[in-house]
Amino acid sequence: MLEFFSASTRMVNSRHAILECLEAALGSNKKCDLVMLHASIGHDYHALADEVRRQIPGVRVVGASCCGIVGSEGVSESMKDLAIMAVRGPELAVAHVDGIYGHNAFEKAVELAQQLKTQKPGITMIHFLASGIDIANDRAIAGIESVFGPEVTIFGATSSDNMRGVISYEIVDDQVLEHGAWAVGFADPSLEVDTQATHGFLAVGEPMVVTRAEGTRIIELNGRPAWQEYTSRLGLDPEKATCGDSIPVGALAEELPTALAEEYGNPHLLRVVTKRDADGAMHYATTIREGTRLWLTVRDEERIFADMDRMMAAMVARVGGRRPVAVFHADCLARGRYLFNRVMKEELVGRMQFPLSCDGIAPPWLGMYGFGEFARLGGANTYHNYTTAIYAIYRR
Amino acid sequence: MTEKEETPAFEALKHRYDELQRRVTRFSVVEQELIDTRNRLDCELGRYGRIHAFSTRALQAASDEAFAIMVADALLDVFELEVGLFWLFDAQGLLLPQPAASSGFRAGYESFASIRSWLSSRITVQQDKACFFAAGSVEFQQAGLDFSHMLAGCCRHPDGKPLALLITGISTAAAKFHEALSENKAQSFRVFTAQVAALYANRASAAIIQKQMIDLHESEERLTLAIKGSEIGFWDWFLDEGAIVLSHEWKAMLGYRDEEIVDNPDAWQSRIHPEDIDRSLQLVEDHITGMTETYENLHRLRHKDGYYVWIMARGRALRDEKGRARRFVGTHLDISRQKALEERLREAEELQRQAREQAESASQAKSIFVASMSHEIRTPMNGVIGMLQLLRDTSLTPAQSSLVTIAEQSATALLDIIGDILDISKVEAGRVEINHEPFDLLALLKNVIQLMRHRAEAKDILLECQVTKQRECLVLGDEGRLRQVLINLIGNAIKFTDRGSVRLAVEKGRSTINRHSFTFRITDTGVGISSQALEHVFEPFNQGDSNQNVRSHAGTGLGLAISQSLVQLMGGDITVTSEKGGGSEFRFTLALPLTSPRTPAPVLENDLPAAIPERLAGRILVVDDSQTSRMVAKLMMEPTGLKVDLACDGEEAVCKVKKGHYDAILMDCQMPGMDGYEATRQIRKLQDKRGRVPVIALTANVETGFIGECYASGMSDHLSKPVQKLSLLAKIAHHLAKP
Repeated sequence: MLEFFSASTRMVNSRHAILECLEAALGSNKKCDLVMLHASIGHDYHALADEVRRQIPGVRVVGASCCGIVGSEGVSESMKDLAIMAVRGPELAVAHVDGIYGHNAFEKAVELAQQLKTQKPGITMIHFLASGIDIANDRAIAGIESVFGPEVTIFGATSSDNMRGVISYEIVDDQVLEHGAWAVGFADPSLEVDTQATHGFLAVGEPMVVTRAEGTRIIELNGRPAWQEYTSRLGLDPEKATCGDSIPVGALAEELPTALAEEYGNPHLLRVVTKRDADGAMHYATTIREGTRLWLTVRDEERIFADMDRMMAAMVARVGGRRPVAVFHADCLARGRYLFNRVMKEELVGRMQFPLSCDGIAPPWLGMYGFGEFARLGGANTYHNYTTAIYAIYRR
Repeated sequence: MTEKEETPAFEALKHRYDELQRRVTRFSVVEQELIDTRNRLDCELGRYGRIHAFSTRALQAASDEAFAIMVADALLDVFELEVGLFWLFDAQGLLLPQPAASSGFRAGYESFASIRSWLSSRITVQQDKACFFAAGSVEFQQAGLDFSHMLAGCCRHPDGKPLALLITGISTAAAKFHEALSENKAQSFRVFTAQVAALYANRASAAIIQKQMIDLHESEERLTLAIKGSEIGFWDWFLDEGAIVLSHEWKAMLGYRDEEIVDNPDAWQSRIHPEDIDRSLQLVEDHITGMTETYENLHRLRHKDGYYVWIMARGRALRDEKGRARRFVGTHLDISRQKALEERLREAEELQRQAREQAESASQAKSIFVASMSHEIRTPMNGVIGMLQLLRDTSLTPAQSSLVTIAEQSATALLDIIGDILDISKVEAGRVEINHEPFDLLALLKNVIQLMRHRAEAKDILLECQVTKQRECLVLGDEGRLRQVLINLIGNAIKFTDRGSVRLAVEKGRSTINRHSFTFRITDTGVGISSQALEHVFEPFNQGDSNQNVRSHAGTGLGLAISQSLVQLMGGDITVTSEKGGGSEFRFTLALPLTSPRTPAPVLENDLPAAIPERLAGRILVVDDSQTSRMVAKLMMEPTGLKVDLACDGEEAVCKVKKGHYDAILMDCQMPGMDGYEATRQIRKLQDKRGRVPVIALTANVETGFIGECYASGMSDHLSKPVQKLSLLAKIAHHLAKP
């Protein structure tokens, strides 16, 4: 039976930060089987992984770079944040692949899933984390589902940097990967996970039509080079603007079917552009078909909060008063300090954690600000952007 | 509406719609700019908050090392760059080879050398500027430094002396994750640098304060331990407030627990012994008013159990600038035990005094007894020896003469025994006094050899004397005692030597100012002494090897003990080396002060005249209560022509002197009725020449005190009993010859 323990810190020394987190999470009994960590881009990832393995010989380590972290202690977005979730128990499988991109996401995901299944056939849920740049997340989901079936719940996030859109890292044991993906399969039959995502953005204006696309690359919008059209609509200079400039304001909205829109609380699913090519093509987070209509969006703070409350209420209602044994949490980096000030951000996180807390004490919590989020929508594993996605694990 | 008419309107509408869309997206961009601005402000605010948090933590830094690490980490925490360095200057203002602490620095330590070199040049260039902002990468590349941006700030002491350099920056590899450093960040960096400078400068003061506090604490601990260990009570009297603090020990020495005595001055005053209270209060008053330098009071305080404890109180008032006592601090020491010991000591001293008096009394009694015995034995011996001498003057057969000789030797031996017993008694009683009179040492040695020669010759033993040749050697000392020692040692040597020789050698040793060292060696070729017997040779009544000597050699066994004691009284020590059958050597060294050659050696009254006339003329009065003694004296003198009258006590003697004419009087000292002393005093009171008649004491008491008393009473000379005929006649001849 799996047990979860979490902690977070802003300590700048990577090894000391690990020591502090392990001490806070595990106390004197350091024994555990897996340490999952999220660390912002200023940390020395090699040192982080090495210190965990030094402190707990034989433990598996997985982790990701991010723009900030959320723990049961609160939220922080600095260059030196660290949050960990230590998992104790044998019902675990850990797998990873390297060199995952948009064009091979499916194959790599299949490979990943097969590794998991080989280790633990009874996996019921998978924490998936992949590079947040240049990857076809829908294909990754499809690859995993091709091994475990669509019933397996895939939750997780894509790693990020600090909104630069330059690079992101994945940590697996003693390796730090730049285009890797890892997955943790939970095979504890006493556990189940409830996931949901929400964004609170509004699509505005006339949509842009994808007039030319290849895989995850949008080559043209409205018949023009995609980057030019996109940045022009945003009022940015196509020549000077970077993804770092466009991400906060440039969420692209895809129209959802009516049934899903009702569940989602919003008629649109959002997508982010984390990379652009010199020829003006933009890298979309999933494969995209020509003819797809993409709307620009505006953020509505009131709606963000309202949709958040609605989501948490729905989640609490679904589990019938149970309290989670652990919560994983993926948040879009555009919803952090690039959207809210510190007070509002803490307020938002508070609204997430309070409903899931017991006597005011938040459950073990591991959250990060990344490029994307995985959560089920309409009963299907779905990739999201610009959302807050909560993955609450309950004992059955 | 026609298509032509519709087109412009549609276009206008579309244009307005597009414009609206642009405004919407534009609004998002502007909003984002506002959000970014707010975020930067949040960050800046956060930096100041973290600087404050750092300052709070840094104040608690336990060591300089910990402080340095805190600073390096804080550089990353506050400014969110990649590297933080805290680099100290040495006393000459040069950067040390390596930073005191680094954080996030992933290059090797060899990189510090190039950084140090570059920083040193920049610090020189920047002079007193607190911070500088290096934004360009070209400069770093030229210096070979892997930095994209760097902030460096110099922490200076308030006197301008550089203390440390703070560096934070971004490597070229990490530059992509950071915005170009702005003046805003440099502003907070300056604040941080100033804060670190203040904290670091204060650390030195803090370190001093901390050390002083530690020293003070240790001192207090030592004082506390000392006070507890020494069981000293402490009191602190705040005179203005009338409050007093009494320590645990103060109360404990009176048998109370802390809570049983309320801290107030009455706690002391109410427990003072009635006999001590006035004096105690006066002593306090005297000190508080400045009349005494320190307060010291031995007094008694009532114990909880009712008895009194002796307390030694000492204290001193603390005064203000006007000399007024504001506080009175001191100690109490329970000296009851010392007082009890003192009392016991006094009792012991009293007992000791009584014992000493008893011992002295016993000693006195012993002395009196010994003197009395001496007197009582000598008196009849006077008759025996005198009669033997008179007998020898008669016609005797050789056999009769031999018998007389044996009788004389036995009588003399008995006198020697009496003399030894008298001496050892005086030595043991500590009543031997050493004279310091001038005498000629060479003459003494010659005299001793002369005296002993006949003994040696009687045993056919060679008696030698080896002395450094010189005309005379006048020294200060006790000639009589030295003679006694030499005679004893030489006599012993002769006694225990059957063949061979006895040698007296005197060596003059090292001289100091007015003092000569003389080593006396008495060597014989006699029987020697076993090593076992040597250990006891100076003990009284010891005669060396008991199974050999006692039987074959007469003596009391007191001679060596007496000699050793006398030599020790004269500042020397007799040592002996001997081998059984190989003879012995007794040796002692005396340091004798020199005396001036011009000081004439006194004429010794007892020196015998060179010759005694065969015929003497004169009238002699013999005064003695012993008829035998009177008879002996008369029979010794009358054959020479002297007229002899007899008196049996002092009164009769005085009466006869008043009536008749005498040329000399032989006066016994101890007589019933008027003794010899009083009779002499009476005679000396006579006005004419009768009052100046020579009075020669005849005493069986040979102690110095008795002889001194003779002279004190007015006697002219003395003779010891038993009287030797030659000595008697010599004395008489000497005094008759005086004008």
